[in-house]
Amino acid sequence: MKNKGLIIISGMFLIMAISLYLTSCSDNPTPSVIANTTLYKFPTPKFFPTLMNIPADNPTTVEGVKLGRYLFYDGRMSGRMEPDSQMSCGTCHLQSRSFECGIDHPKFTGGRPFGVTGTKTPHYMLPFINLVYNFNGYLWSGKVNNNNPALGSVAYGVPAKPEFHLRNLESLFWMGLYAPHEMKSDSTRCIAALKSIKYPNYPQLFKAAFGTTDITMERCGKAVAQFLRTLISYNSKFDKYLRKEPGGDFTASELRGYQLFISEPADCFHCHGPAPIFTTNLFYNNAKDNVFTDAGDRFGYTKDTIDRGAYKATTLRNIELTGPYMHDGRFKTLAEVVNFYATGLVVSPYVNPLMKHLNTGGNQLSDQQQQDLIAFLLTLTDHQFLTDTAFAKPSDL
Amino acid sequence: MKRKHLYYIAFIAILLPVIFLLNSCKPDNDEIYYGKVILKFEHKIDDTAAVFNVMKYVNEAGNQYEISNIQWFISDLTFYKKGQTPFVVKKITNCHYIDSDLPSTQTWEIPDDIPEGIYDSMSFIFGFTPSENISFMFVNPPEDAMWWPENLGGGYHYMKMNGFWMDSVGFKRGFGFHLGIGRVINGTDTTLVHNYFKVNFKTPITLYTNKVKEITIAMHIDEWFKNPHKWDFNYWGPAIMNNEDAMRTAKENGEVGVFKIASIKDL
Repeated sequence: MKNKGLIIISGMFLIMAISLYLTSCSDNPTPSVIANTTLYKFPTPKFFPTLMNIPADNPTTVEGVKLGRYLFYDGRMSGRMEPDSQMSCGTCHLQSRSFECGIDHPKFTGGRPFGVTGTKTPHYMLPFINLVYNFNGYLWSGKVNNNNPALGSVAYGVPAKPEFHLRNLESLFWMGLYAPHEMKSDSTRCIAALKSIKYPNYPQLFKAAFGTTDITMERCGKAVAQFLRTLISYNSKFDKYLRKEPGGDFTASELRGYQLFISEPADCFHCHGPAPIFTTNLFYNNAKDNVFTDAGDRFGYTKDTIDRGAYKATTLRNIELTGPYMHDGRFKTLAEVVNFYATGLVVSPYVNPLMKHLNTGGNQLSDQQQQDLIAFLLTLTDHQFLTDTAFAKPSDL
Repeated sequence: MKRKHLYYIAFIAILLPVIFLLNSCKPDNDEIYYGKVILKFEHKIDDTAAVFNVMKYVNEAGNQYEISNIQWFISDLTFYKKGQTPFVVKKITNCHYIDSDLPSTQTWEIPDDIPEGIYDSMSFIFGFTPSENISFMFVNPPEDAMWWPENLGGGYHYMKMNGFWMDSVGFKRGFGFHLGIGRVINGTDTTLVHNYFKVNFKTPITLYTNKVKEITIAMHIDEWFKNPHKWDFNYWGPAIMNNEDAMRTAKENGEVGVFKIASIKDL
């Protein structure tokens, strides 16, 4: 008996020794994945970032993405069951418009969305595309970021409670649900609605994604965020040009436009670089105005005066589909945007120093140069992304 | 099995975890005569800490100017000891990005164990040598935003320094004092010019076994505009990437007095 005890104790110590050896210097903790889920395999396109903004407490799983996709497109999630009053993320964020609503949306005239009560959104939209690579904050002001200690959002009607953080894509779900200019709902209505739905079987989808059938707001936010992170565009003509793949041959005009894009005379690339992401995800006052009253600019978040009138530089991928342009949708076409940078800059004390042509009102590109630049911008359209069925509304919803 | 043997086995089993625990975090090398180095970076103007976003400085050419932000790279950090092979920090980690807007980048904890002893000098490359300046070697932020246009040779900016100056008619103009590969066009010939340079500090640095040495490197911004060439923004204009003459001039200024060691101390 005593011998047996010694053997058992010795064995335990040996196991402990091996465990200690294997774990004591590990600097790559594996994310905590829910049991019986499968980690989602992200594409790894050449030249694209390898770092992804994925919170440790919400790894992306196949099951979570599936649930998130249903929630993204299910208008009942807003807590309204009548078909004509339902609203989902997908109501405004159309895949065919790079997950913006586009200027030609049948309901949102001119590309300006409004919520279920008719209240217009404070700004025009930003696309849901390649968000997983962004570490510099979401929305036009970047206030949703990993370093923001704030809770809730007054402008969005989201109460200041610990669960209403403004840190990552998970937060956008809460904001969209509560915002008076979006779904104008609340967590009680949302959860009650999801519990009452017969198809899809949400309790089972939640169980598959999170281990139990519990439907909670936190889980809804996590699932939708997981789906959003999968929306990666990497197959435009430009990508093929960069990777030297078939279909990537530029026309003379596209090539001239690209050369302009990466030259200082036009100077697009400092803010709308690097390729192939085509945004720094940083914030710039690009000389549109000299009066600043919008509380949703970068200054509204940082309270640093140099940020007055500054907004996120949007990605230029799929840019032909995401008009109208700028935070206030003032430009209807790409031609208007390019012409603005050529001759329409406005002087103010807050213009970013990278707007080096301010003293002459713009970069003075000729008509031909502007056309070439637009030709290049059109090479950034990713038709494969825009029609990928993995991102579309589930056919059985 | 004899009881005595079991005691031996139990003793070894208890001893093993302790040995593993003590050994598992040791550096790979067997030598213990190594020290560590931490580099810190600061930006100065007129010998005091640079104040950003305030139009309060005047350069040698009489231009009033302000600095908004600076991003720059150093690479090939090397320590020299008389009569010995220079110690080059590991290639895989031997470059560092410094950003005035990102405090975390202003400290570089060099992972290498560096042999202890008295070093006569240390050096780094401002920017990158051609063989180490490869397009898409950085695909993640923040370094990826330093990309340098393909038609100028590709790779990365050695430095972006953005700011404003009051031009000759009193207009506050933005500038991008950006350095990298230059292009010279001579008829139909195009030559790329790599404007990196080596910065050498001939200062004794003593590394002690198992101790950390903190070396603070200061970039004296005003020196970019001072010596041997007076930099006149009104002459060179707001953008110099396509102007090799301008970048060569800046480089020659950079080689003289821009970089200095501000302090060396033991931690």
